Amino acid sequence: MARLGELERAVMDVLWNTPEPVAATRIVEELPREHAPAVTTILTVLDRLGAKGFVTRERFGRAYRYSATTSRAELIATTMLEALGSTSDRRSALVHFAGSVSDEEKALLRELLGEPAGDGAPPRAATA
Amino acid sequence: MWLISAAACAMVAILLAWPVTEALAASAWTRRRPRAAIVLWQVIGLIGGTSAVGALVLLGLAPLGRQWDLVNLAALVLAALLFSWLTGVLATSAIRIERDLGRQRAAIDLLARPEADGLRVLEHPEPLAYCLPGPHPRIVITDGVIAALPPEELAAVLAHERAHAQGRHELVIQPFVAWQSALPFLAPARRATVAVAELVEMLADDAAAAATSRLTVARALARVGSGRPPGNAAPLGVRGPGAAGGVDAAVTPASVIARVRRLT
Repeated sequence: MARLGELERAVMDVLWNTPEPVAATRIVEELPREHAPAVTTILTVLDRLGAKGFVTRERFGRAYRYSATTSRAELIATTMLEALGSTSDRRSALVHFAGSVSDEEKALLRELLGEPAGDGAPPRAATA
Repeated sequence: MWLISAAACAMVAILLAWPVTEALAASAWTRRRPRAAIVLWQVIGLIGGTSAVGALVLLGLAPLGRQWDLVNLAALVLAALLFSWLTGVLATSAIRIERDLGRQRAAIDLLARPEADGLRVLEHPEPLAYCLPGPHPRIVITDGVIAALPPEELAAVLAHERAHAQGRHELVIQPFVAWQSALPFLAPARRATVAVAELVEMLADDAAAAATSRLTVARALARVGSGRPPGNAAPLGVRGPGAAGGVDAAVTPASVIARVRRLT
């Protein structure tokens, strides 16, 4: 199972790195040497990824060409937003996140932690 | 007598829902014994629900005389509806959550290779650390959180998330969230959900404190858990007590301060 996950990641990496739709045979060529799977294996992987909604395909002549449905950066952003947003009604993930702390809160937290004001290492807040 | 038993059951349900819930929510001892408090909440929820259904069943079975047959019928129908509503909501919420989690897992598995202990690191500047719960949990962190925290505080955050994963805290919280959305008009349901969510965070804080130190966890909380979402995530839902799930109370600035206070 771990190998399959690795293969799926490798295939997605190829798709994410290739701007235009790409054929399965080309994907096999682009994969790192240590994988070297058969085209049929890659087709299975592509089907699974397609069923999960990460890959789409179009017909080019007699064969299909495949592309990722979203960019990698977009998928990261969507995944994180969903993890954050899902807690508002379902708690399907348990989330911590950083945001901007108000000065008042910062001061109170410093006080509780016994840190003097204007400490050399103030809590770092993420900016949106 | 049937009617007296029905009334007694109803009384139990009402007492548990209002005065007992208020009292427990306000109790300071719960912060010292979060695990016991959680069990108590679960017992209250279970007995409260059972009593409510039981009261209706007893009313439905009470021999009230021919002219009250309709009352009997109505009570039994209501009991059946209430019972199926409560169990149905639980089931549908579990299904929906699992579907969402499955999608999340699939995405995470594609985006990050597993590191030691099932950790997944996402390339993103926003400091974020969370747990995808389940039998094969994933703990997801971003480059941003690694950069924002000194090593011991990062260890505290990871220990906290691991405690959630290993403790299967999502199973503890899920019934409360489900029933709160099933009974949105019932304020006690929201009080219970908020309380249990906070207690679960305290359990994880304690585990993280055991792995590192109370001060380390407090510092990490101050840095990471201030509780306001990144600006563009706000449209996904209002956060804080009184929000749709109420569970977000666990990460509002007020509760983070409470948790830091508790640790220091």
